[in-house]
Amino acid sequence: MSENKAIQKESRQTPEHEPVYVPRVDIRETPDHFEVVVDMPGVDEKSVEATVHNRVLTIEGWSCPDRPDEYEALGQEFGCGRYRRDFTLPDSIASEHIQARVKHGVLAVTIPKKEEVKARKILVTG
Amino acid sequence: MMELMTIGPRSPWTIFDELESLQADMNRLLSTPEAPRQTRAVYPPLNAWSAPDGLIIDAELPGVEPSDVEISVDGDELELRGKVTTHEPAENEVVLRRERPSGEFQRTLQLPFRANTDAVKATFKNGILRVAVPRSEEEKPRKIAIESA
Repeated sequence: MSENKAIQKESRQTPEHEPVYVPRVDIRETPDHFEVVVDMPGVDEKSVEATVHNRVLTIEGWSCPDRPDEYEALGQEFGCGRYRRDFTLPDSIASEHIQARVKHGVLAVTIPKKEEVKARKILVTG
Repeated sequence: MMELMTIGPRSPWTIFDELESLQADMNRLLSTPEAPRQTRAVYPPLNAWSAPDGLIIDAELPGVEPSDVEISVDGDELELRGKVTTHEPAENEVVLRRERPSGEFQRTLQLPFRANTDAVKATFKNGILRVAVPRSEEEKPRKIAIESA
């Protein structure tokens, strides 16, 4: 584990050698929020970050397969690397209320819309 | 004269079809922010680790519930099977983008040895499945002393 951390640290200092993966994403819109769901296998709450700056949502994460002690690599179809993807958000969102959670290597970001743009049902009276 | 003979691990072997693996690497290397990495022909992507006692296989399965994965080992064949369930949009939802794969998957690996099926163990962490497949006792490397007549 400590060896793994050392590798992470080293790789983070040399970003030019680090592959950057564009993670796959699903985006849904409901009357009161947007939901951005990102596949980032290997990340947990400590190795993923979501930031909003000037209406751009940036999602970043880091994952490195944990090499078991005393085993040799035989075949590798996925490796160490950084996930990164940017999204431009519409004006209508309440960026201070964005929430993010990660489970089973999937990051889900909930972006609420501002109160005034939420679709409302208007009660029609006779 | 005393002699030692080793019945040991078989010759080096490639667990994956090399072309498939190369294709996956290329897809990753070629992916840019404008073009999300392409759907690979093989799912899930795997890593394999080897030791004299057996193998460890890791599979990238983000968002998959552990209960939706079935692992079976029969002699020298390991099969991973399961399903990726994605959110079904509700009536008031609009899907703006859908890139994440969904559906059923199945992948079979030929092991370089007969496995000790009773001792296969699997764990799931952060969307990565790890399966430890020990070599069967009969196939473990052992030294045989040859007695002199």
